[in-house]
Amino acid sequence: MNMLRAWSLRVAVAVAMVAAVLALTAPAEAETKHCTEIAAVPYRITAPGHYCLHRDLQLASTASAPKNAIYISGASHVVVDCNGHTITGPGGADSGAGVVADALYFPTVRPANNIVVRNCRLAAVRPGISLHGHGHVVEDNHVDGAMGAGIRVSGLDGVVRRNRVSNTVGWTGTSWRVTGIAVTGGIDVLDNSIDGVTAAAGSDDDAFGIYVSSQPNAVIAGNRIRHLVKDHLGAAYGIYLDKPERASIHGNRLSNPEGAVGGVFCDDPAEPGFEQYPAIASDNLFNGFLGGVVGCVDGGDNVMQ
Amino acid sequence: MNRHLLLCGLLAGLSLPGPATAETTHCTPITTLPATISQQGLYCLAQDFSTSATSGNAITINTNNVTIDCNDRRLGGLAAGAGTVANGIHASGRANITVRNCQVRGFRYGISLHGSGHTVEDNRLDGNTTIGIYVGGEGSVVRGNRVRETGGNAAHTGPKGIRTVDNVDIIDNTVTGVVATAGSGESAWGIDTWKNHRGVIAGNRIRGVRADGSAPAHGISNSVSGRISLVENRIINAGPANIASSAMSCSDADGIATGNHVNGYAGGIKYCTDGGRNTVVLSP
Repeated sequence: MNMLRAWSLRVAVAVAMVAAVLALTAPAEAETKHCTEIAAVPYRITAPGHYCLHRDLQLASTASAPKNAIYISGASHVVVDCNGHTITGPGGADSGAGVVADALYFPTVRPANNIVVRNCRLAAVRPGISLHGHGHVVEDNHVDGAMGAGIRVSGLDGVVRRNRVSNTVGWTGTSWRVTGIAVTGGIDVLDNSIDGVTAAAGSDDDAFGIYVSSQPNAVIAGNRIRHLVKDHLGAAYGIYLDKPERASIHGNRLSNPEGAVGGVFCDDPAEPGFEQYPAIASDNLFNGFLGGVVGCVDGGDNVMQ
Repeated sequence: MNRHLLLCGLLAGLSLPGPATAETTHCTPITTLPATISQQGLYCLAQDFSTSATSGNAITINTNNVTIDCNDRRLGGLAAGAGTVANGIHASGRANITVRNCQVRGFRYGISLHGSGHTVEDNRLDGNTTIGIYVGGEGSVVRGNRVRETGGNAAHTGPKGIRTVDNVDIIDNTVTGVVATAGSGESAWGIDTWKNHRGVIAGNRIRGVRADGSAPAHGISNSVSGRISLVENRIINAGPANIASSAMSCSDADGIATGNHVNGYAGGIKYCTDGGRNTVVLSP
């Protein structure tokens, strides 16, 4: 009887150990399987549907014509799920974007609306993700070492949430100042982590954690921003809002031992109508900034160290 | 020793993290529309669907304890036009229905559940003509949904992004662009609740609610409400507001509002108890 109990216990332990190993090695995100596989990049999407990666991919250097890894061209209702896999670009000025749906810069194609980009790891691309159109969702991605901007989204009713953007670096050839996340139009920016935004050496340029322009009604909340490095005569800003008509900035945590001008900086208070439609900032925490909330309505509970 | 090892192993096995956007594959696929579900269980969409039906429901749930996971697939009814009276996903008098990860477009009601104990989460709704999400059900929750561009119905009914009846929690939703039909003279609601006596309405983002003519626009309206909690909602309207508009209202002071941002309405927080930390910037 005792032998039987001991044998049962050993079997139970073995099963539990296998379960433990399986649990520890399982991916954090379940894999999307019913999808069209993107097996190589560059890859062009021209029809609605679900697209996914089943392995890591490399974007080759093409100095004469930089290629975007995944280019959504004139198609709406597209889901790109990288299933946690990595797309690595060549880095430097030869690199194209990681994922782009950008009628703004390709005006001959129809705008792409309702695009979802999730679970992608993008490294050494320029920029990481760039979407133009309405209703986009950019979530749970990690963009590392992008040039110019980590994530750039413009349009109405979109959301950028739960992404990690790290080690974004400036590039002297861009008209965009270096930014972790840049949004235009009406995009919510929620619960993202931005760590490391560095202006190009010799550029005299600014560095921005989150850059918001022409954002009526948007919500910027719960983001964590740190390590913003300007170049020489430039300035560093945690969250910079250009014409922030009635935006709501809440619960962000900003830490910058390198020093920065503004934590939440609402620009252009002299803009006609700005006084009537101000942004509200509350419950934000600033550590290492010269100014906390600048130019916005102070909704209280903002803490500056 | 072995018992400790067993316990550790079991705990590790149980600690497998729940995926944020897991694809549901062990399910009964819905393969045609209209579909009627008569047996409890887990159902999913393995492809996008469109219908031009102008009445009835794309998916009808006729039993309790049903989960529909659309896996981010689309249920489209735009082809039926503004006069449609068809609904996307519908259940009447049922309990414990879950609808998640669905894209529902172009119906009169996008998701419409009556009964009790429902969960409506992580869906995307747009272009629905009258109500994005309707949940009439004690003990239900509506959370993490994005509801866009609701309105435009030919019947001139005032549009609502989210409408609930009875005690329902409404958490972390984005409602944007609720616009009454031009010439209708109708109101518009971001979130409209009725008989919510104990629910929590928190962390929602509501913007672009537009009534027609002199009718009022409502950010969050709670009629026949009780001891509800209204916490950290962001209710914003750009541009000049109708003088009758109100961002947030309770039936009486039993409701408590705290930590909300209100920006751009003529009326701020009405009849609720001010629990503090509310910031209100009224429209000039």
